Amino acid sequence: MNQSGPSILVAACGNVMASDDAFGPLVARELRLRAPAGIEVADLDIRPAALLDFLPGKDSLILVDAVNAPGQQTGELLDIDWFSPDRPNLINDDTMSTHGLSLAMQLDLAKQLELLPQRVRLIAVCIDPVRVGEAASEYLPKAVLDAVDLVIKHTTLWSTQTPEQQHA
Amino acid sequence: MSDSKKNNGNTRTIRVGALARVEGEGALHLVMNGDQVEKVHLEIYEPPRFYEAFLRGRDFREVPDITARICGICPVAYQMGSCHSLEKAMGVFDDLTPEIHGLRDLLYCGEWIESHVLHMFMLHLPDFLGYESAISMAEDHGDTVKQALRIKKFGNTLMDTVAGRSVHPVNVCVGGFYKAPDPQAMKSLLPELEVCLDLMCKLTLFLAENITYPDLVRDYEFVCLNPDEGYPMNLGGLISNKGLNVSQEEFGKAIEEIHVEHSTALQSIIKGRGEYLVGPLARLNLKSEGLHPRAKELLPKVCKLIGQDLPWCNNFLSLPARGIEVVHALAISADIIRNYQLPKISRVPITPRAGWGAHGTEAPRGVCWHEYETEADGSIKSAHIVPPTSQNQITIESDLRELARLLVDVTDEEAALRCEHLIRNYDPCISCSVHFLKFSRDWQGGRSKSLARIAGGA
Repeated sequence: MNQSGPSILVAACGNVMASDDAFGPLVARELRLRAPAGIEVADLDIRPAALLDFLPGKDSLILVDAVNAPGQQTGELLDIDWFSPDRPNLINDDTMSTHGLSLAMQLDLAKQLELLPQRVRLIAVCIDPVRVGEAASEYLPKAVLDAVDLVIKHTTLWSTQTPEQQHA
Repeated sequence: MSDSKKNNGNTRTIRVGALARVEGEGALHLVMNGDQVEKVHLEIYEPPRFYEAFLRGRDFREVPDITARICGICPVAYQMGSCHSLEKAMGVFDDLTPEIHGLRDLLYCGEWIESHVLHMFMLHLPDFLGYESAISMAEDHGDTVKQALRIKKFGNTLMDTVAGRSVHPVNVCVGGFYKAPDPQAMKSLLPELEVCLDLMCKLTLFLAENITYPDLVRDYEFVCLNPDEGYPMNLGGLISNKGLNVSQEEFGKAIEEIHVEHSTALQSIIKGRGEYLVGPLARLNLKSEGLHPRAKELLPKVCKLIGQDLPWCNNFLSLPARGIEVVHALAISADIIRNYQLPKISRVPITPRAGWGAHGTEAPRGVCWHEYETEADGSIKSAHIVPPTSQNQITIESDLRELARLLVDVTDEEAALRCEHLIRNYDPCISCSVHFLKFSRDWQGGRSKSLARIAGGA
């Protein structure tokens, strides 16, 4: 943990046995090799309900997941402020989770409990519906590397800024 | 979100947006004829999981890691079922040391704590207190939610410490553990554990004192493990309150799995009798004498506050039953950790062989039973898994049938909420998918006057 900079969490979700839904865990695996010091990487796998456990004390969060987003091209990488009004509609928040208490619900609950980080970004790849046991699409490896670059870009910038500066 | 339309003069179909606070995907379809329930179908859309097919031909050592991915909430249950079964198939089950059994219990306690507390306080309690979700509940009960989250987090920490990670533990293997946990790391858990134990006792009393539980008493056949000593978790044969008493190996022949048209999940019955119930209510009713003294001490206080001694034949009481089980799991964990020393061996050696083994353990939501046949080289010849929710599914439908009779005078929206509440009694884990319930109710023979009046406002 970086003692002087912001406390940053990268939380990835997905199922490595379900085709392109492996996006999140693959990004987490790569980040463990390349992430700057002080960044906590949590692979929530198919238990995104564990997100709340990681939020206390964090002022910045990047969610990494695979999503179904109407109007977006399959394989497209989203890099958006979670709170932005321009955030595209996802088919359902629960498509970003697997276990009842979705990521979106947890962020709402975190806000209620005053645990919500000041900065929350979503880095997601748009995927088609997946089935357990299917192979990943050809676009996925590049999407993973691009996502890792984005995470490093944001976290490097944040490490030199306060959340207030980021929003200024 | 709901969508209501009249199909004809006497028939009305109402669809309610998917329910997110359970695991999986499915729908509930009720057909009413006047005040009578014609049909209750809990329809499960989940595509067949194919895990049993995935496993064929794989090395037996891979099975715990693969089966753990059947569920993100109860991976330990799938690991424990597969490990014990394969140890029987390999002929080493009797070689497992008390230390390995103790560590397995400890790991399982972590899962019970995490899974139960998540379900109780984030998913189920809002129903009882009249909130739409944990988010709105937290506005009025923020401290309760924070305390629950603290206990849930401890469950995850416990699994991390014993098994390397809380989500899909990586330290579990057929024969024991790849590496025994560090005693110092284990002992460091005790201060937080003690705090969580005290909090959980208070929260369980809160649940007993502040909730009026819906009254739906039924004549269940409760089924759970029957260990020689202690509370059901990893070991023992299987018993019921209606005469079932079989070994683990015999259980597969005592039940029958049937396929119904409206569900892609198999449903289980006890041969010659029918539906049965697995889970916390079964465990508590049949084996309360095996509870840890801290939980045993709490039980009569809870019974008094609820106004109901055991056996509890109302599955809405699964909420306080889970509370008592979390207290038990925390107290057992403290005992195991206090006595923990680095074991001489963390796993027993295994020489692959052709064999067969069957074993079920107590997942948070009930018995999860596995059976495997192996080839001489240790590869899997066949795999068969009977998860708890498929065992409970017919019982859930019967509960719904009983409840639906009582709901003829309420709106479809209210009826859907009450049915969802009932289904959550079972903490169903139908798939690692997204939505669970879409509700529809058809009135084939006309509706009761009172309901027609309510709906007739339009």
